[in-house]
Amino acid sequence: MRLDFTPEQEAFRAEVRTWLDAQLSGEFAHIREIQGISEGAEQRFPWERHLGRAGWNQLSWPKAFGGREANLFEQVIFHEEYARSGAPGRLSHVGLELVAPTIMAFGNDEQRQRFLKPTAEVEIIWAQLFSEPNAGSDLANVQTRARLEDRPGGQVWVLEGQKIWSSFAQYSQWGMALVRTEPGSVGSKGLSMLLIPLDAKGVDIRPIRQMSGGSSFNEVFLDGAETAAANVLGAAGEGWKVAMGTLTFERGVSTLGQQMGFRNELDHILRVAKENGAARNPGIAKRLARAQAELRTMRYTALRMLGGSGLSLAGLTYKLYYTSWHQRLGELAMDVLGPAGEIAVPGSDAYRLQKMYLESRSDSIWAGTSQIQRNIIAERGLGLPREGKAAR
Amino acid sequence: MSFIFTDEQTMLLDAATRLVEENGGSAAVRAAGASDRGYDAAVWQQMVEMGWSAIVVPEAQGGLGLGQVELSIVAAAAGRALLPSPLLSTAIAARALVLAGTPAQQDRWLPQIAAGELTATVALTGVEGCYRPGDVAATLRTDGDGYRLDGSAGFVLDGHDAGLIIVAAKLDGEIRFVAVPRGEAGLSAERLPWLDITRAAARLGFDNVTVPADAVMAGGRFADVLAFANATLAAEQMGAAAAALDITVDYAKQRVQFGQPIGAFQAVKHALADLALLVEAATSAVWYAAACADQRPEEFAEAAATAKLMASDAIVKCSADMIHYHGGIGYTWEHDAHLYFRRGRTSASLFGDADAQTKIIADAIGLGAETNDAA
Ligand SMILES: Cc1cc2nc3c(=O)[nH]c(=O)nc-3n(C[C@H](O)[C@H](O)[C@H](O)COP(=O)(O)OP(=O)(O)OC[C@H]3O[C@@H](n4cnc5c(N)ncnc54)[C@H](O)[C@@H]3O)c2cc1C
Repeated sequence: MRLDFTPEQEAFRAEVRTWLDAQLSGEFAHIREIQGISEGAEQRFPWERHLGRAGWNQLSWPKAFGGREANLFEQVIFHEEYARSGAPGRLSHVGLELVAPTIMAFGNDEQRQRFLKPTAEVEIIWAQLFSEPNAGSDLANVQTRARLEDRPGGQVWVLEGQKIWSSFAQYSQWGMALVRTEPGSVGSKGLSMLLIPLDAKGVDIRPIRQMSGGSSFNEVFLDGAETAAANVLGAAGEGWKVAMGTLTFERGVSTLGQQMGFRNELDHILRVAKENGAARNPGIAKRLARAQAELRTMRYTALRMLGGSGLSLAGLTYKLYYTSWHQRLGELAMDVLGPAGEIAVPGSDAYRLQKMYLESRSDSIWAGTSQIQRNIIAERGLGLPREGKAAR
Repeated sequence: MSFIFTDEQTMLLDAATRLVEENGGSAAVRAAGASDRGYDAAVWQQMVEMGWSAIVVPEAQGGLGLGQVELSIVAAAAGRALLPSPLLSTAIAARALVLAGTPAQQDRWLPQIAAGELTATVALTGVEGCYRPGDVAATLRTDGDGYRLDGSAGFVLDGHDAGLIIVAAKLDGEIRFVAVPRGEAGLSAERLPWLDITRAAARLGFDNVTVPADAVMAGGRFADVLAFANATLAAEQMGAAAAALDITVDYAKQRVQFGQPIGAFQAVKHALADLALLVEAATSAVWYAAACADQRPEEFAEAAATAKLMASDAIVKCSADMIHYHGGIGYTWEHDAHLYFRRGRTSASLFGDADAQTKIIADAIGLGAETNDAA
């Protein structure tokens, strides 16, 4: 066991930090002020394109696709430094962390050539069109249909149905949609993963207002929307396999750097607690100390997953651990602020922490709810049987 | 950066797992715990032969000069089976000697400890079992060229049996460590009727015990000794928590009700998934603390407190749920669940409970003054 990063890794960290500091105190200084998941989109895209042109978005990608082939450590170091820098979360997250890896894993050469570079440079923004009103946790219940039809220019897929909770679809040019292509099929059979242009006719995107006030997700109505027959990822009918691949990326490396963002939040709360005297309340002080211990532990777990053995169970528990922690942190933030925290003037501590408090409520829902996470931990990690099936 | 064991560490782990499996059955553990010593001397002898008594003893004193990671590996293995032995107490005492002893004291005691000729323990607190420096209830006073020791100590692991006791005592308000050999006139030891029945703890009395000047240690901070004690204990707790979870998961796969294994019911499955979170957190924190002891002394106090906090959470909750998810059988004397439950409670308090650990962490993040309890 070695705790220190190698000199090369430290040098890489210094490179990232120097670069980020220079940008964020120069041309993009204003970017640090943006808070919340859905604010300031018009300022964030130029920043994210800038990151792409500098090569950071495609750090881990093969050289052939313009990447730097950074290893896992370097990726995590980058995500950590990014979070530490205080720059806002990424609107291009879906494209970079979900769609691009899926295209690399399941796409053909033509699709890779066409989509990867513009995705890295944030010229294409992507939406993940998986969930539907009746297909959330039970994703295999997807009902949106697509059928092949002839057009003068060649065959196209024609889509009918509705997607929902599609993050950042309102900014997106393309969507990666899980749809049913075999009529009459049920469950995970007969699904395909289609890449569909969103600025075409037959696509209606309506932002949904969230409980935190902003709108990061949308309803997407597909009413005769078309995409070329070639725009299927993997083979037609193999959509479930592709979707499962995407979900493993969703719980992948980028989340390991998350705890640096949490570090900023906890430091903010600690500062407020010392300033307003809440830290003198022994009950609050104990919860702060516990939050600190658990955040440290989260980092140790991330490091253990990166540089260690016996990863599997730790990996499966990671999302549930950090989202539960983050929701408790939101509650702690409000207790530290006291009733004053219920009054939020933009720019104040209360404003930022209240937003975090509200936004953290989604943590137990997205990317597999906490119940689904527990099923996964228990069934894949502990080997427990599936409900209702085992004893028959 | 790597969390992978070296080949040597993996071999140590394998050997430790084997030794514990061969000697750690329910009947053996219960019999050992109930014996006068509180452990099986033949099992301890095997551990000595494998070098476990020498792990943290420097090579200069005939030890292996290994680190906290190695000590935690064997402690975790023993913890899995709750296998009683003087391993923990002796290793912590050896640590205290390394941290606080003079060269002469180290040369006198450590070779005997390494060779397994001498077991040792630490007496760090009074009979109340709290671990603030103010709770130390032994006092030193000068007497001619030397000193006299009075007072008492509580919750001393293997304290009725250990050949050497490193006592934390107050001299003019400052805590000093003193090496007191067993059998010294005025030293009394009484095994406590402890909640934990798989290991022994004693209450010690010091009545005008003669302490030669060269038995008083040079330095060594009370908090440092406690941190090592907690890092090691946490490894043991983590092992016990993981075993409690494993046993319960196995049972949930086998026990059938309503036509299916109880582990298929979400109410059970989700509770066990939550335990897996606690065990994984404890695992991360324990190995990080162990690595810090060897590589990052400046982070060690907080890391050890974090490990103790996480590992206590894990063993306390895993053992309670171990009882519950076994149903009626889990509530019997015959089932081992209560042994883990008892160990959970006592180990969580030993060397400082959750409040004590959060206090250390609060100090580390600058909340110290605010949480100083007046008591
Ligand atoms: C902020 C946010 C962003 C999102 N972004 C996207 C996106 O970009 N693209 C996309 O496709 N989707 C996205 N989602 C959707 C997300 O994946 C779903 O909301 C989630 O999978 C849950 O589905 P649902 O909302 O239909 O809830 P349901 O599945 O109806 O769940 C309701 C409740 O029932 C519980 N439940 C359901 N099934 C079980 C079970 N088997 N056992 C026990 N309890 C169960 C759940 O845990 C939950 O508490 C987003 C969601 C949020 C909140």
